[in-house]
Amino acid sequence: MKMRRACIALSSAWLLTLAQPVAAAVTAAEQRVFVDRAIATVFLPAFNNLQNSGAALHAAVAKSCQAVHAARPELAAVIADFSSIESYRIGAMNTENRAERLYFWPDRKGTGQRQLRRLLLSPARAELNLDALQKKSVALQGLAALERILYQPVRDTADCVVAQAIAANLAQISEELASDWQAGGGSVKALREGARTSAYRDSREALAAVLTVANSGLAYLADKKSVVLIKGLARSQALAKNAPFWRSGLTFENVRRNFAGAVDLLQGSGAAEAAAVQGVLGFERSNGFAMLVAAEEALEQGDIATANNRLEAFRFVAQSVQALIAERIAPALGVVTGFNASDGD
Amino acid sequence: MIDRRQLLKAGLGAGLCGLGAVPAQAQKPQLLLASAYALGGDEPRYAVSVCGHDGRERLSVPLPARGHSCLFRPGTSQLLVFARRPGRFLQVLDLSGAQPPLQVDSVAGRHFYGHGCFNHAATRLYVSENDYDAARGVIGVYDATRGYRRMGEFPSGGVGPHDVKILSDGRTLVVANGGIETHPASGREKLNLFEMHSSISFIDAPTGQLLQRFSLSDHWQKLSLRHLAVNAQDEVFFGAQYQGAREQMPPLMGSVSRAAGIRSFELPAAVTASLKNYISSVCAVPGSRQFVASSARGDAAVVLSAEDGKLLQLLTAQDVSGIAATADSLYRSNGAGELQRYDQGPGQWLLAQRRAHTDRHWDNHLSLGAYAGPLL
Repeated sequence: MKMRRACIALSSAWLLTLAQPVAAAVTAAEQRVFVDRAIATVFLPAFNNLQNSGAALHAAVAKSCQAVHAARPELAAVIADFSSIESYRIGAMNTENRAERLYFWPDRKGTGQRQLRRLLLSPARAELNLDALQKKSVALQGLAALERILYQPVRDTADCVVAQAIAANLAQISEELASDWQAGGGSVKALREGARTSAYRDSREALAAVLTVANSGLAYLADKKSVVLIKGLARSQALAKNAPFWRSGLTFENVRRNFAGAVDLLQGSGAAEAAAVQGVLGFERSNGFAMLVAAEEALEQGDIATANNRLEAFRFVAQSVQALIAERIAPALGVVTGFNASDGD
Repeated sequence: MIDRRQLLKAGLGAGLCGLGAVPAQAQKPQLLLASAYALGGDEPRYAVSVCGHDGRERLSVPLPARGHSCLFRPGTSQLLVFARRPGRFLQVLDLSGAQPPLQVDSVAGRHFYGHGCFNHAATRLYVSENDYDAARGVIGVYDATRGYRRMGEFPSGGVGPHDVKILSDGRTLVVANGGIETHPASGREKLNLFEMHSSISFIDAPTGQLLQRFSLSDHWQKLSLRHLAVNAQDEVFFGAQYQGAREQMPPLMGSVSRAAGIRSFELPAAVTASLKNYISSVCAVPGSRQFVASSARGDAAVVLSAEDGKLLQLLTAQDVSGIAATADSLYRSNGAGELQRYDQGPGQWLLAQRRAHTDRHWDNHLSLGAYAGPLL
């Protein structure tokens, strides 16, 4: 176990195993089936959900401009759906800074707060529309800024104009992402075609990309997001203000859905089943959820030490799933990657 | 600091091998290849290896952590090994064994990026470093004649300086500012991809003055210019790594000059696609106008014409990364522990030798040096 953790700690890149596992003989057609299932059962529904909730939020903010706080339930729904796809850094999520425009986190320098404060003090905010917003900093364009507006006192309807522009932007980005995963969409074509000039030369590379999405998401949870939470708790003896979605109280929901999003890919694609690890993965999934519930409960009771202990345990669960990918799933599916290819500089 | 006896003792217990393989009477200049590597086994361990042109190992020395590139100090028996980003060590090894190894640590507030170069007299060492709290690149200047005492620093002209080379005038540095902000508190995480901008700077080394700086267009804002090679004509070539979407395929290689700026090489679409938006290493071929780039993700190396960037040869190999060339031979290393030599044939490079070091993964870069003295 010590070795496994040490290897993972080397990098968030995946499949860095010093004792390289041997790839199984899996046919291209079989690999294609996993990719197709990931698209049909995981990516497409998840991005469709975000599109739907994004549209609902847009409508709610427009409707309730006299009391923009009334749109909090719709915002919560978008945060939930976004959290499911937050780690799906593939396809259109990687272009036009969509990932950062959806949610600018971590904001190490407080850029978003500083810029939003300035914007909300500006008389020009009453004229802000979608086009103008899209020319502004990515830190102002997405969920982080909208959450701030909806969870602080609103002075006048001009603040609502800003909220409307952000909601419109979120709806537009969500729509673009969803169409990327429809039949004929960019990601679907790239993953399925495997032409020599496409992003993936063959089905092995396409499948490797899908597994990398899951692995990178887990690495981000284990190495970054959990660490931010743990350090914040130790420092503040409460949820720190750099925790994701702390204003709306959805921090743990965000982490839980991040984790589920990664595991869903392994289960929905059929990869876990093919590698005969569905039982282990199911156990890790339940275990991860239980650790997060326990951490949140401990936090509510003011038991910071226990909360941090459970978060550390959650990190370990996320790392265990990473190890499962590297040691069992990827070799079983014939997608082992080289030392330098996975972790060069 | 450890002495030679301690080094030997440590090495025998932790991967030091090949000591004494070359007899002390070997005084003729010999071509050596150096590369950092990772050892397989239960725990990750790192070391640097020196091999002969035949691929046989002459020397191996453990490293405190993962290394990135090596640099022979011309006219001396010193071999430098740079820590991989965001490492803080620079190891100075005396190949003759006359001096104990010297470890130079980055100063407070700085870490290394993995590359450096000497001036022509090999008295000054220029090292790419990160002033991480200010998120700006600097070039650290070290006095090689005085135990690599740090003499100062100057701005690299951008964020995330990676490779640094010197031109034939002995004073103009070329720096590839990769554009990616990192901070030791976040490990190797890339902190500014949404706003990154890469550039190549020309700097007057003695004064630290920025002479010229070239950036890419906003369209390829996420292209990180990373590695450099310079040929005898002072032509500078770069290899890049793209941080954007995989489906976008920017040109990954090109040349840069103070007169013409950045010129990208356009390769056939299928070749560009096969390189997977990632160039691992680049080198110029002495005595010819060829330039070679490797792509670990693309499992290939390409030989290009320095004149117009035309593809001359595609050499496939799994996980290939380190490359180095003499006028007659091209050397490649890969993550599977292979060290290969290609010799110049009629119009193309031909595989002449492959040596398997199955206990290890050769790391990113392979460096060449000529050394006339005895080995440790």
